[in-house]
Amino acid sequence: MRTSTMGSHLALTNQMLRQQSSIAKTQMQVSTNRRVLTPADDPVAAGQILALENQVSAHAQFDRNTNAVQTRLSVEEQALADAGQVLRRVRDLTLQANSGALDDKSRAAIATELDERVKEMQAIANRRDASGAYLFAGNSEGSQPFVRTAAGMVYAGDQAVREVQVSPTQFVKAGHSGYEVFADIAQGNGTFTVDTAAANTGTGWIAPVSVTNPSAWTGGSYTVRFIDAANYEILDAANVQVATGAYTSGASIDFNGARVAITGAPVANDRFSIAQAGRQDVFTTLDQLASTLRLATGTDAERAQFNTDVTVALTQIDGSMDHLINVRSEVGARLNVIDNVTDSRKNLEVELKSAVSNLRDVDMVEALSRLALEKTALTAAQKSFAQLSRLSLFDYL
Amino acid sequence: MADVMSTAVSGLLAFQRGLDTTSQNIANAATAGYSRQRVELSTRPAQAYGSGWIGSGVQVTTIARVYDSFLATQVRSSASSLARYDTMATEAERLDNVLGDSSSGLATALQDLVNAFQEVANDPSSVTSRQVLLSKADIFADKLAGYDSRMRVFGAEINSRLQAGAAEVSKLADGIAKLNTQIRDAYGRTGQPPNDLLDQRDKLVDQLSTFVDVSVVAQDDGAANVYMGTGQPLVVGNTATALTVAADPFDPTKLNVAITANGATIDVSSQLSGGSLGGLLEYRAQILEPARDALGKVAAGVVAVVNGQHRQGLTLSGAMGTDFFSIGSPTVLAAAGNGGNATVATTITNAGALTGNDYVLEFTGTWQLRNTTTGANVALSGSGSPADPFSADGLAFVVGNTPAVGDKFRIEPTRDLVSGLKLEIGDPAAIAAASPVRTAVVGANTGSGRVSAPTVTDATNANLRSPVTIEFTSASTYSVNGAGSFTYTPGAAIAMNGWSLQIDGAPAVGDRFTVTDNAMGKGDNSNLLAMLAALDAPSLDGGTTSAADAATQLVAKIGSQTSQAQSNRDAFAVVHDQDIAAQQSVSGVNLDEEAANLIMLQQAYQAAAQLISVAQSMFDSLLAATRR
Repeated sequence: MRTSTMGSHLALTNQMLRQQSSIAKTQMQVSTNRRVLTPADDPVAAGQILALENQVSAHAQFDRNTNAVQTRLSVEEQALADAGQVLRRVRDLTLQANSGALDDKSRAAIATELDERVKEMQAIANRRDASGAYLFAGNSEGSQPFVRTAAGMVYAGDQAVREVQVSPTQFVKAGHSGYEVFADIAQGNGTFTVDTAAANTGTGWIAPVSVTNPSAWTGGSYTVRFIDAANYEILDAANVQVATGAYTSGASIDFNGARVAITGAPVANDRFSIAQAGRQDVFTTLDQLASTLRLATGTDAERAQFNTDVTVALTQIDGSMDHLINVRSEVGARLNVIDNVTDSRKNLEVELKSAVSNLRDVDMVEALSRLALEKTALTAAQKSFAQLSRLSLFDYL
Repeated sequence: MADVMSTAVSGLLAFQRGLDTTSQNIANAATAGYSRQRVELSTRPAQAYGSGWIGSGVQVTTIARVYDSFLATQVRSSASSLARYDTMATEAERLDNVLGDSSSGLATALQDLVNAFQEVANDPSSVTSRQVLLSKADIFADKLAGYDSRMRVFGAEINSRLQAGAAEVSKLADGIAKLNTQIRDAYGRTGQPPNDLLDQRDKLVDQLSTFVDVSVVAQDDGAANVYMGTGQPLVVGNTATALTVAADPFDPTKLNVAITANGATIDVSSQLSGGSLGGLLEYRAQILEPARDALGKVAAGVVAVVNGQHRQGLTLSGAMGTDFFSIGSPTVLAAAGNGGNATVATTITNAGALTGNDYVLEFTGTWQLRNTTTGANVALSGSGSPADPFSADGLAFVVGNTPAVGDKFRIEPTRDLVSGLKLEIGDPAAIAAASPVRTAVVGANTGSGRVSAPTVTDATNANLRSPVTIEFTSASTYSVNGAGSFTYTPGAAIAMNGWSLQIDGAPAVGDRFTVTDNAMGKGDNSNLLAMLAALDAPSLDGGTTSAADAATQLVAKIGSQTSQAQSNRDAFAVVHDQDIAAQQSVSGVNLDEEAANLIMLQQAYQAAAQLISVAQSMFDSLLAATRR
């Protein structure tokens, strides 16, 4: 084909311009270490990169969320440990007070120490986290949850606890409300409670033993009334007799799946009550115990009343300790969940980042060899341009 | 001898013309648009002698330019396409760079906002994290508004580039018309082609083809008629049509390309497809405006979710949440020629059903809605009154006053939304993180019933925050605030006063559950968790796309449109180079060829001159012979 002088000049120039622009692009890829410089370079990969980077960013946020929950749960766990410590001390004091060797005065002294323990418990229940929010106020974390009023300790918080997102699908509760920790504690053995009537004149006192058949327990309140010293009857709430029996001190009385034991020598018309268990907060338990320890134990009846109350209180304290342990193990389980989530998040983060890198980053070896090739081609074009443009017939005229 | 002389002289003259033409070719070897010229020689008529016909020398028939109109058309066609895709690619690259950067891009701004919401959800009573959220939300609104204003600047630039391009086209058309006159005159005068004028005219047409796609029809008298696009006359003989810009019939801020013919302005934008003007129009219609629409759609989706949920929450000071962001409203543009005085007001009723397309609402006796992107008619429900507006595709239309038949309104539902995007909350305490109500189990309960956290279903209910006590009157019935008897199904939703909750387990008779005002719940984040879930959920495009997906899709779409324009540009650059090479191979000057011609002509000239000397000596010998 015929070529024109300007045409071949233009073709050579365009060729060099194109080679220079591809060198510039390869050089840019090498110096930024990125294959996809703008979305137009690879629109599909660019979309995926954005989505992956958003995931990386979201996981970094979940990481911060996790740290926040972890801190809060650790603070809570410490408070729960401290509260458990207080209850153990209270239990020791109660056992000490229950030994027959003590007189009323010594018991009153123990009651005074108990008062201090109650205050300590209140201080724990009113603890704040690092940012000054009350730990055990539920969501009403701006106001003090446990306040002592004339009617006793009142819970001013709420029962809700916020959840924090720790992974795209998992939420962890950032603590427990004061209601859950200190108030939502089953009375007695969780099924029924017992009491010795204040008007009794005998020395009989009642203790809850166990629940022998949970499905037989139908709730309601009942009274064990002694017909005489050797026989009793069981009355329901409407004073209708539902059972009778012969009394042996310390022997268990089974009734509607509940087993109680009456010890001592009750007299006719002495009454003992068995009632459906409700919920009782730990402060009520401690307050009741303190007033029990201040009871006089001069008469047999007073002694019986004291025995019943101390037994009930011990059951209640054991229940509270179990409850605190349950709450603590729940905290432990949550921390465990957080650890697992954190582990899998770390793995995922590595995967996400390597996916982004695969999509976006340049293959250095490939890019550098491409650059070398392009440079060679440009050099060749330049040399051939210089040589070709020297060729002219006019040189020989 | 006279014959030898005259033959020799004819040769001298012819070779002189040849040398003239060669020197013209050499001189114009680097002139753009120059077609090499060639002297067409032919023998002069021979004279008859008894012994036969004897030639009488050479004559110059014409000086022709070597030109192939088919190749020229190809060059123009590829130049037109190249200019079109080059313009599109260059403009799209700018948009791509604005939206695509991963460290400052749209998708990142959205994720940063989500993260800031998470941070407040971690510690709702912390004023610091609330403050951070406000500044992130402000950045989000600013960033979107920034994109939008960049895109509006691009739109304004297109207006001025169309204006400049149209002026340039008019100037070129004018030049062609003038050259047509000169060429016609030159032909008439000499009957020979005025090669340099023809080259000049072809050069102007070549230039024209980079602005619009042109076709040339040669006339017998040497003039060339030039048509653009799908056949709009630009130059006919010695008359040029001026290309101007005219305001869009709906949107006076948007310019279109028009021609003025017989005093009427005719919009020819839709007829242009090539050249930089065609590229600009296509870029605006296919890339820029859809990008603004899509951005508006993403913004509308985010704002609807955030505002909707925020209004269901409770602020730190115990008030119900207010709108978090404010956003612009759909644009309604009345056609310039509307005969009636009807008005149309459009509002977004469901951001999740928005399509991001444009619509035309036309009165044809009844109101008809057409989606201008898909071209499909859209069924309207409702009557168009304020109480019962027309509704379609997430929009509500209220029409007022009296329309005339043929009146049109263009609706751009999402295009200008972002320009009104603003953070409405200034006080960190006004962020509504908490639920307005809370539930609780009353401590004396003996059953195992548990109550869930409440879900707000109607934040505007007047009794939303009124205290409610649900008391079980038997194992399977309950009363509300001491009244009524409702059947209890464990786990079933109990809804009233604008909230809904579930109770499960086995509550005992007398067990109570309360719903109370949550004004004290400063640590509650349930409203924010609901908002985060809603932001993550597919809420756009009829519930198929999440806001983050839509943002990513927008970036990827611009990217693929840019990449498509780039590869078209690169392809047409090669095609154009090849076309130019083909044309050059015919019309271009080859200096070696000219040098060879020079030698040949020079030698021929010298030979012809030698002939004269031969004739001279022949004459001299004759004289010498007769002198004796």
